[in-house]
Amino acid sequence: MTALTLTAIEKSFGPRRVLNAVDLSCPSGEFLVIVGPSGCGKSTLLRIIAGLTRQDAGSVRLGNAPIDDLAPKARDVAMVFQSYALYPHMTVAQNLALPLVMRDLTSVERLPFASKLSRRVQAKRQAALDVVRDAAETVALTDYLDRKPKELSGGQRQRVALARALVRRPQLFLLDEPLSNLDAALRSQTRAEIVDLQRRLGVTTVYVTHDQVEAMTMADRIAMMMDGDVVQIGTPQELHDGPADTRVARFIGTPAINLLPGAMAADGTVRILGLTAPVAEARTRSGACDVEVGVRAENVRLCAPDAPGALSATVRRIEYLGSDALLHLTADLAGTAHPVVARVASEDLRHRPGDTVGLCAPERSHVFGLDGRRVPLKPAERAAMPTPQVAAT
Amino acid sequence: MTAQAAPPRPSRKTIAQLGAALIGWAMALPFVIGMVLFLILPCIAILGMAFTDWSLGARDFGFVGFANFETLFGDRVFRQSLGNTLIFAAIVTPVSVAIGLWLAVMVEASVRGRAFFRSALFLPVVSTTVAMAIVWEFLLHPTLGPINTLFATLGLPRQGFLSDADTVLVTLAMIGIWENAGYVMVLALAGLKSIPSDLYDAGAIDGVDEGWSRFWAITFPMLGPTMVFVVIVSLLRSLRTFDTVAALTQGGPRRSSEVLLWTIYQEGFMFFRVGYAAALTVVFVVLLLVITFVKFRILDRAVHYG
Repeated sequence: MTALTLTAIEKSFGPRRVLNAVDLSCPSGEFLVIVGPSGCGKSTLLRIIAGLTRQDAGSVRLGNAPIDDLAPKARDVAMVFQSYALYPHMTVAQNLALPLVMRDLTSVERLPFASKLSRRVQAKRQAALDVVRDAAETVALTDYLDRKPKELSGGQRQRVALARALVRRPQLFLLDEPLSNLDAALRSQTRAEIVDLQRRLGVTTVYVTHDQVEAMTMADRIAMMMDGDVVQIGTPQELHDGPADTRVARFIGTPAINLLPGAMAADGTVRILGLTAPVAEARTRSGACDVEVGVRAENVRLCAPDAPGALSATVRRIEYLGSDALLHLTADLAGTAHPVVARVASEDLRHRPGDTVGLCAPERSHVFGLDGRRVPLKPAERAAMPTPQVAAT
Repeated sequence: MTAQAAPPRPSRKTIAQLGAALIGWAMALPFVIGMVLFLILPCIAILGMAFTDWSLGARDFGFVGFANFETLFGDRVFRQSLGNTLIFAAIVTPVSVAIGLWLAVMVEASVRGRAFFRSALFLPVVSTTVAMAIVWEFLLHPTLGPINTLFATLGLPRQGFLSDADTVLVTLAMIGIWENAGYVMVLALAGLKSIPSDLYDAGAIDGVDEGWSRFWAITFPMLGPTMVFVVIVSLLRSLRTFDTVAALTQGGPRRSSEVLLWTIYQEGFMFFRVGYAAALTVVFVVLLLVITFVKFRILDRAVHYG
């Protein structure tokens, strides 16, 4: 069942257009990560789903019902903010109880002494408190219920923000860069905790981040946004192995993909300039043209400098990472120098800065036209590869 | 500043440290001289004078111990003056803070004319009170004033305002509110600006999304530090009120608008009883210090959320 459907969402701030007719849908229980560089419109999209920002055109549906005209509180969504947005004058328990109190109690029942006067109000308050205890237990905060946010560490505050989003059992969970204020060690731990929590609760989640590592490690599916468009939607593997264009290819994966100038012959075979061997089998597009060839660091193949047809390259710098190492090379591409990064297993590391190495045709490559779009493989090869799902733009 | 200026410990005294300490002192010196000359010495002088019977212009004086203070606490004028001052402050502070806060929220929420309202409402603060007092005197004139004309048109009895012992203090308080509300508004506006918009967004999702619930759950608590400051400053300002009294009523009629600063001024500069005026000043300063102490030691702790 589809939990969330966005249809042709558009938004401009003054003359600046931030969202161009974005379509997106999300099956129930999915962990969808919207990733993109800052300014791509991803946070605006999240705020539109939450109802904090009104879209200029298009519609948001939750389940089967349009929620465009509902106030944020009536949408049955919860949101975790980058700043956590905890109420600093309230204890953890009061922070967690607020959404419940506001939903379940009338304005008269919320008056300070109402629970002393009416047993019904008392029962409602007690029910809220039980839910708060449960939520606090879920995120291991039971011992901190009486503290104020300022007395908590960054990680604890982050968990309070998560718990506050949990208490109402929303249909949809929205998270806006919730990890960017944490240090690196805590971030990877919290990443796992959030994914665990989401799996356990099974609540549909939309998670916004600019960090492709978060996107790759947490998502069921990633929606990659650039300049107000959803450029590609797919599983982390689909985006990594079949980027729809050079922007996606550059953004996903560390280190960044090598993009080298190449040429496609009339028969569809592709060569990197200066490399005599073809780097890929024939592509569907026929006719000679210039292309860009994307080669991930792990697909770069080193060989002897004098191997037939090899490109010559110089080792500039070596980044040793433990199990493997990154070789920063300068390749000679038909007379022009071009940087290339290669990943080498540690046991194969025999190079020193200044050495000359050869580059052979890579095991695997991605071919992009000069418009940046991917040039698809021949149908025979295509069957073996996961098909990238490209959003209609 | 203090760390810089503190002389280094003798055991570790090096030339560099001594130099740094000297530079620190040299930098602090102009301020220290100014403070001693214009703040600390006058305070000591006042305290000293409070125990003498010196008259302005007299060649010599004698120490009278606590006699001035004894007179003071038995003085009907002082008691009336203190009472008037407290009543004035008790009206002006809460009302001007409430109105100023309300104005700030309204101005902040207004889409258009924000700059205009902000400047217009701040005008009483920047304008000269004595000049404004003349305008008020005209407005409140028992026979010629437009306000009384308005009262008459509405069928209400004409009021004496400043010339009636029963209404003069309240009338002055209204002018005080008019003066102070703009000041409160500007400070509260600054406070409102510093509330993170994320809190309102979180509130909107949690159900705290409009009117009073939003004001009480987010705006007011987040303005806590500002409000404490504003209340204390307003209180101190209203206790120090002088120029409207001097310009409009001179404490009258029948001492019903006599406030502490006016009494001090009268004793010192009209009756030339400087010793007695000094004793009044000491009592006044102690009152202000107590309020300041309460702010820093008690109230500030309750409203800073870190």
